[in-house]
Amino acid sequence: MRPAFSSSMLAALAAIALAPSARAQDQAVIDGARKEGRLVIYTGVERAAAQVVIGAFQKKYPFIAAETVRASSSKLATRLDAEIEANRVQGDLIEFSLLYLTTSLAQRGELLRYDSPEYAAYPKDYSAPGYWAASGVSNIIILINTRKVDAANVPQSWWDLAKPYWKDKLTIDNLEVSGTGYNWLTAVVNTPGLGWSYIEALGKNKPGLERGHAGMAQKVAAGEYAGAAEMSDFHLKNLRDAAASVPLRGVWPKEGVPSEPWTTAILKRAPHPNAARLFLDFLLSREGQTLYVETMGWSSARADVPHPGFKEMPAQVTTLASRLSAEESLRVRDDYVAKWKQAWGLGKNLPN
Amino acid sequence: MEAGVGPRQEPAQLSPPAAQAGASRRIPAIKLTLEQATSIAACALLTWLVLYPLAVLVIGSLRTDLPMRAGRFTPANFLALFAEPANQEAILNTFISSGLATVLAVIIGMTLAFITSRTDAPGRAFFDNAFVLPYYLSPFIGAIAWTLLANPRVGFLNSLLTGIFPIEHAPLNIYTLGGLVFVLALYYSPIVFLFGAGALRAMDPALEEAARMNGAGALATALRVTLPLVTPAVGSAALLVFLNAAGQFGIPAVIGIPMHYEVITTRIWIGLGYFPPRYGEAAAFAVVLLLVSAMIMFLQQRHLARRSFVTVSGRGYRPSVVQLGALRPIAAAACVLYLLVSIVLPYGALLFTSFQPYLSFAFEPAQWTLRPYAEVLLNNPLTVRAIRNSLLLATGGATLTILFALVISHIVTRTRLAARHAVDILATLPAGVPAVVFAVALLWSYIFLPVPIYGTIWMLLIAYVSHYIPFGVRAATAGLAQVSSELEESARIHGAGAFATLWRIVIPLIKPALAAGWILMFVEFIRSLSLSILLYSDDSIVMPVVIYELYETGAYPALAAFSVLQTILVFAAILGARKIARLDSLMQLR
Repeated sequence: MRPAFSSSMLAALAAIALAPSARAQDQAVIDGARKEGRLVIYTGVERAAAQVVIGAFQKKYPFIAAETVRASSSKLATRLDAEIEANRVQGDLIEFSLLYLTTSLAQRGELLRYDSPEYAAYPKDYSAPGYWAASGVSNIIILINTRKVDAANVPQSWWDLAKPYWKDKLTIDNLEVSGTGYNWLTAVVNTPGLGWSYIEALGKNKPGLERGHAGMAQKVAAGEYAGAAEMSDFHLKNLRDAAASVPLRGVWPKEGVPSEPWTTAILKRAPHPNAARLFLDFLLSREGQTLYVETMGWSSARADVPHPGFKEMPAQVTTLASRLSAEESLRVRDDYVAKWKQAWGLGKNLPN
Repeated sequence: MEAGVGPRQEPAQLSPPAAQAGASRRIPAIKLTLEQATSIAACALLTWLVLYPLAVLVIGSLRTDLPMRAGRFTPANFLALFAEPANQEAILNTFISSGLATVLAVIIGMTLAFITSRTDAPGRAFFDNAFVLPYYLSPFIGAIAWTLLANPRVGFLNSLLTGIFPIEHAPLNIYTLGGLVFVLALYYSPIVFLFGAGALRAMDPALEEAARMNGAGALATALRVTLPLVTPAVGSAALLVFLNAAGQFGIPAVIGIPMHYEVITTRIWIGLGYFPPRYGEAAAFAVVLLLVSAMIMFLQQRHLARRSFVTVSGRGYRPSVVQLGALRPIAAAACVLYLLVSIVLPYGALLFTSFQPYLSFAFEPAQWTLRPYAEVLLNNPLTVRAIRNSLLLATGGATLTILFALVISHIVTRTRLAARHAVDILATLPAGVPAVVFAVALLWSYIFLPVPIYGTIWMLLIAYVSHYIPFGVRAATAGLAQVSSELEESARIHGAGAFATLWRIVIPLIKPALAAGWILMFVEFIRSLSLSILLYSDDSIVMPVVIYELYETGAYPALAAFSVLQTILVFAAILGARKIARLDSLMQLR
C-alpha cells in the first residue's frame, strides 16, 4: 500500500472526496462546539506543524480556543491512562504513532464513535471508520550528517549500517518506549532479507540509545552522531525549515521503508466532543490534509493529497509491506522488546 | 540557618522587662483577643499547608491504596521499595553523589571563602559578590549547559581541547559520576562560601594571634585554631549542601538519567510516569528521603547550631590577612576559574546555542538567527503561557509568603501566646523537607480531594508558599530584629490596632528586609523545577518545566533561548534586590 505517491487516481477521487467536505456541517455539532468553546488535542506531533493546522481550523471556527498538549506518544499514552483511571480526562482528541494503543483504547470502549464523512476517503490500512484514521503517514528512513559521512559511505541499503564504518557513529531511539522505534522494529524483523539477523548485526555497531526522535535529529545535525538508524521523515523537513543549510540528508534504503500511521481519534470521555468532531472532520478533509502534509513533510493516507517530497527522495519509494496489524503488534510487543534487548546485550536501565 | 536562631533572642534584650510588663498590662483585652485569633488562624493555616500534606504522605505510604480510598495499613510499599535492586541502588546513589558533591563543594567554597576573607588576593570585593551568583542561577540550566560543553561526542570544550592538543578522543565526559558531582558541587559551593566567609570574618583574631605568639606556626594555627573555629559553620553548610543535593531533581535528571545513574528524586519522577503511576513507591521513596533530611536537620540542630552560636559571636572584628606574595595571581586565577566554569562557560554555551537554527557546535556566524527567541516568545503557546504563569506565581507567591511570614514572625518573636511555639515549629518544618518530597506529599493530598485545586495554578501557588514559609520567616525575623518592640507598643498604646501597627509602623520600617526576602523568593519561584515538575498541568505550566520539556524533546535552540530569558529575569530580580535593600554586598542577601 502506497497511499502517498500513487496519484494516478487523484482526479477521480478528488471529485468524490470533495463532495463530503462540501456537505454542510451538522448544525447541532456546530452549536455544541460553540457552547464548548474549547478543544484540547493530545499530540505527539511537532508543535509548530500542529499549530499551522490549528490556526487554519480556528479561522473556520473562531469560537473554539484550541490548544495542543505535546509529548512523546508513549508519554501521552501513560498520561491518558492515568486520566481515564481517575476519570479526569482533559484531552478531546489524540494523535499519536502507537497504532496498537489506539486499537486497545477502542477495545476498552474509550474512543467515541463518530461517523465522520471523511472516513470514506481513507483506505482500510489507515483507518477504522467510526473510530480513527491516520492524520498523517510518516516514513521511517535513515538520517545522516553530510559533514560526517563522505559520499562513498552514504548507505544504500539498511544492511550498510551494519558495516564496521558505522561503529559508534549511530543513534537509535529506545525501542522499548518509542512508538516509532517499535514500529520500525516490527517492520524490519518481518521483512524477508532483513529480519532479526539485521537487528543483531546492527547491534554490533553499538548505536547510542537516545530518547525522542526530535532530539536525535538535532544531535545528528550537530554531528554528535553521524547518523540515525531510524528516523521519521518529517524531522528532516522540520530541521530544513529551520535552516536550509542544515548538514542532513535522508536515505530511503533500496529494500523500502516502514510507513507509520499517526492515528487520530476522539476520546469517549472528551470534555468537548463537538469541537473534537469539527476538528476531526477538518483534519481529515482534503483541505486539512493538504495543509498538514505541506507543513509536516509527511504523507497523507488520502489518495487525493500528494506528498511534497524531499529533494533526495527517490522517485519510486517502496513501502515495506510488513507492518503488523495493531492486534498482532500489541501481542508480540513484550516478546520483541525482550528479544531486541537480548540481541544487543542491554540491561534494565534504558533511557526513558 | 544562623540568622533564624540568632536575632530571635534580641527583641527581649532590646526592651527592658519592666517596660514590656507595663505595656502588656496597658494593652486592652480586646487587642489580645485579636492577636490570639490571628495566632490560631495562622496555626490552622500552617497545619493545613504544612502538616496535612506531610501527614497524608506518611500515612499514605503505609496504606494499600491511594488516599481517600478504601484500604488497609501495610508495610508493602516499603517492602516493595527495598525489594527492587534498582531502588536500593538509587538510594545508595543518592548518598554517593550527594556525599561526594558535599566534599567537593566544601573544598571549593572554603578555598574561595579563605581567599576573599583572609588573604590580600586582588579583586576580593568583586569576587565576594560574584561567588554568590551561581547560587541564584538555576542548577538545572547549568547542568544542561554542561551537557553542551562536555558532551563526550562533541561538546564545545571537547572540540576546543581536541583542537588545541594532539589528543584523539574527547577528554571530558559529563555523563559520569565525576561529571554529576562536579555540576552539583559547582552550584552548591556558594552555600559553603557564604557560611565559611561569614565565620572567617566574624572570628576574633586575638585567638589566632594568641596561638602565633605562643609559638605555633601558620599551619599549626590554621589547623588547631582557625579550623576548629569555623567547623560548626562549615559543618552546617555541608549538611545544607547535602540536603540540597539529595533533594535536587534537575541535575541528576539531565546528567544522571542518560548514563543510567538514578537517584531517589529521578526514580520518583520516573515511577510517577509509568502506567499505572507508582504512587505507592513514590510515597515510600519520599518518606525515605524525608527521614534522611530529618536526620540531617537533627544532627545540625544538635551538634552544630549551638556550637556555632558560641564561637561566631559579635562583629566588627578585623581578621588578620595572609600576605600571599607570589601566590596572589594563583589565588586570583582560582577565583576566575570558578566563575569561568560556573557562569561564563555554561551561559556562553547557552547564549551561543540560542542563536543557532539547530543544534550546532560550529562557528558559522552566517547562519545565526533570532528564530529561537521568536519561537518561544511568539509562536509557542506553551512557552508564552509558562512565562505568564511563572511571573504571576512568582509575584503573587512571594507577596503572599512574605506577608504570611511577617504575621508568623510577629507571633513568634513579639507575643507570649502559647500558640507561638506551635507556629514556630510548623513554620520551620518545610525547611527540612526536600522539594520533591513536598511535591509528592501535595500530589497525594490534593489529587483525590473533591476541591478542584490539583492540576490548576493554585496547586503550584500552595506548593510555593508552603515550602518557602521558612525562607520568608527568616527574612521577616531578620527585619523585625532591627525594630525595637517599643515602637510597636507605643503605637498600640496610642490606640492603633494590631494590624494598623503592623501596616503603618512595622512594615515601613523593615521594608528593605522584606523586599530582599520578596525578591529572593521571586527568584526561587521562577526557577523552581523540583517542586513544579510533579504538580504542573498544561494550564499551569511554568518556565522551568517548559525548559525541561524542551530539553526532553530535543529542541535545543529554543531551550537555550528560553533559559537565557529566565536567567535575565533572575539577574534583574537580584539587581533589584540590591537596589531596594540598599546592600553593598550580595552576601548580605541571605
